[in-house]
Amino acid sequence: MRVGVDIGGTNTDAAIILGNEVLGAHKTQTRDDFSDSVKSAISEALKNAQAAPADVATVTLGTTQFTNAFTERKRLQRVAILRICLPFSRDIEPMLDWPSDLKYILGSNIYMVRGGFEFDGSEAASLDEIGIRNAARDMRGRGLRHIAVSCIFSTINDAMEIRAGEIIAREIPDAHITLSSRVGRLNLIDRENAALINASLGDLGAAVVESFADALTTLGITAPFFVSQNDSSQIPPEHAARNPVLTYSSGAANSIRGAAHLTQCDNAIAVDIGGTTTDIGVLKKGFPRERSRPQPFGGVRTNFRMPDLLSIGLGGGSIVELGRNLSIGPESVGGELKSKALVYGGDVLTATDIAVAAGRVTLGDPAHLAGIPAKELARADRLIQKIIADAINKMKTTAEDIPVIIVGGGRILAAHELPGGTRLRTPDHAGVANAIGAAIALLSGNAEQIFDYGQTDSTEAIAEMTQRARQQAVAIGADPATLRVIDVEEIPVPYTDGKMTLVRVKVVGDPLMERS
Amino acid sequence: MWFQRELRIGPGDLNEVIYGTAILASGGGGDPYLGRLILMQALQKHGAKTMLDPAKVKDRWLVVALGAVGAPPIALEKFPSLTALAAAIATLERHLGRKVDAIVAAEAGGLNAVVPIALGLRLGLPVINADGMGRAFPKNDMMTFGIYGGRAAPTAIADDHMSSVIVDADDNRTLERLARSAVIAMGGIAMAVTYPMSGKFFKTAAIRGTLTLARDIGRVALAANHQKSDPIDAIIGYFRKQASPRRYAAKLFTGAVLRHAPKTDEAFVRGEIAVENRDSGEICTLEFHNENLIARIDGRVVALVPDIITVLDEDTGEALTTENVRFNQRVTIFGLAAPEILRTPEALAHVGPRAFDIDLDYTPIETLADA
Repeated sequence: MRVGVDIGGTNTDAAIILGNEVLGAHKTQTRDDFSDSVKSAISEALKNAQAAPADVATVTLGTTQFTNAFTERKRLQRVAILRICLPFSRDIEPMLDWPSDLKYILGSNIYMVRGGFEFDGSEAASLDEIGIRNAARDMRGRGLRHIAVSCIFSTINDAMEIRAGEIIAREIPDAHITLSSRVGRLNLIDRENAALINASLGDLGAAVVESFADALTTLGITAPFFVSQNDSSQIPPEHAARNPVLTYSSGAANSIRGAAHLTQCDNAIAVDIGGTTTDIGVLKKGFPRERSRPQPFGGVRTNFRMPDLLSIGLGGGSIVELGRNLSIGPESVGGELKSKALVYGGDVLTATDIAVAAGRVTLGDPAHLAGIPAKELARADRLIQKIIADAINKMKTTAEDIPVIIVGGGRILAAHELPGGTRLRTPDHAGVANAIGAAIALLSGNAEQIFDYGQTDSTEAIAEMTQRARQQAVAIGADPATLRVIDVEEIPVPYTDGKMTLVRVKVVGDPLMERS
Repeated sequence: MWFQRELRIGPGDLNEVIYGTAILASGGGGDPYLGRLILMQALQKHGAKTMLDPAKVKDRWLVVALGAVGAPPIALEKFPSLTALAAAIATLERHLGRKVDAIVAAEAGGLNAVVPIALGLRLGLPVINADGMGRAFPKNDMMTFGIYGGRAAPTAIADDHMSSVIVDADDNRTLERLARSAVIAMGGIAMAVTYPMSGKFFKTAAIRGTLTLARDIGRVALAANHQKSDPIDAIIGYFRKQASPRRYAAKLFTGAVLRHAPKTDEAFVRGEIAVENRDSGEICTLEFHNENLIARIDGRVVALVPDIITVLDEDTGEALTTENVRFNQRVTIFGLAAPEILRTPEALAHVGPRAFDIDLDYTPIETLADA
């Protein structure tokens, strides 16, 4: 059996699954010491499933801690960036359009040295090893040890980044070095930004992973564990410890995949209603549809593979204003629903109160709503249904009818049938879809390279990249028998000798398990 | 109004100018993100730049057009370079034995309309508020300076290694071909300085006020975005309010990208984008050759080159270059009449549908809308 845990800002959820069956689940409040929350969520879920720690085959944890640290600018380290690029790419300096508060906290310690590759992986300029050594000594003199390294076309050829890392490590033995080729894709600025964010998180990645490991040891779980990454696949803990930026946002992607798993739908729209927001994603062939635009993270542009989500300010705690200017959200009572909502004896009219009035759910004491005209409450309910229906419509891209699955703690807000006739499916365990998504996480492998289609044909190039992506997935624990290609991209590169095409392949598979 | 031509661009105008130039580009003109950052760095280092009114260009001046040439995916790693551009200017000056007096953008696009401003800031050269295409086109010989009788030769091309070449050819098409091979040899991206011309000739052939137009479009669109209203409607409203010659602008289609299949063809990327509207079931197809050339809705032609066809992301309202369009993306397709100077018989011979092997006579976008 597999265990999934989702550590959110408000709640920590755990789920135990075996094949298609959910054996047990538990939701608990996230405490300051989050490893306590992990322990109590898992042990309660195991109890519900009547399972023992020894039955567990894999554990996958998703966490928002890195997002919180970066967006709240907490515990961030001062960093240095070494860009291997000269004589090229100097008219856009590193961190140029970063928010000024972040530049202030992280410092503007920018070093550019000679080196870099051409698009085909050949050398564009020789590596300035002495320049790197001098930069490293200067960093050491300034007390900097969290260092990001970027290089032109390092996703095609990472040799110069690796060499630079070695030189820096020799000068600064306790350096924490992030190579951009490990955390990003084609696009030097976006990839370098990801490396810088990762460097600024410092030892937080290692600390979080260690506390996960401790929690599991305390519970007596010896099975391998993984961390959910931004695209909903998972990586081994040692990768997450070094490159936590790869795992900063997995909750929404896990919810979408969890929703799919619970309904056994491969193509669907998943609506996750929480306390403050509603996230809507689209599932295609079992995977969240990816965003086509770059994703800003804490005000910094990055290009991680992320699900394409529509977030709207509607949740169970959304504050409702009645009257002529009827409005719902985006302000929310959030985690204080149980003391502030009218049905719980509070003094704020919330979306949950409207759902109670509409008879969708029995919660608290409906008598507290007696003073409000029923017509007004019904009008607010119609608006809620319209907001949800409009958002779903916005995410649909084809005319065909696809199922809409609703999950999350705030799912009680939605009617079974929305205006326009869309029917919603609410699966069992919908409240912990995110933990279920984590539990069923796959392992992925990615490969990209530029080919001359005049010499290698498309089929051969894709086969070669598929082979490399498979090796990568197997190296982090995927079962070769389950690997499948889920994405192939061919991007033409004009102004080159021949028919150059960038080929990218992504494969995924299940983890290789000793126990089922 | 003269004061509108005296445009001053400072850090506060950056987003508006980039937004507007990307809308004008018809899907080409380079990545607006790179353009924004290059101009941002130049403005941070050197302050604001006042654009030169084309009417103030002296007849005897030496004016040159310039821009980045190369593959968009390569530019994401090896950025368009002001150092290389300065080297190209120096090479051309040595060759001609005289100094350049003013520079102008080769095309209107998110990158190439603003690279000259950044260079002007660095070198202290006047930058003329104009360009040579009024949009973006794939070839050097498609500039108005060539269409109306100017010679692209000698053209200087340089890269960051400070390698440079002078290309000289009798006709502009041959020059384009030779220049292309130099860019390929330089690693797929280089900077070009072309059409050395007198100020007198420049004034007969230039498309004037490009940056003012871009800034105005950006201003109304971003204000609309801020108020959560439709930026395209705001742009259409802006063109309706202009005195003659009024340019027709319209929202051509809205839908999700169904297919985007680009193929490399030497220096160019050709292909087709198909967009489906799920309410009406209609499909809009765009053929592109670096830039968008023709838009059809269920087979009916609704816009033709040289009129401008730009794809925008429906959520952000940002204009997309053809390489940045993605499968499933929700988009709006915007059409805008080309400037009159591109619609004359001479111009259509160089930039009309047949110049791109499309077997159709040019029909203006406003006529197609009435049909």
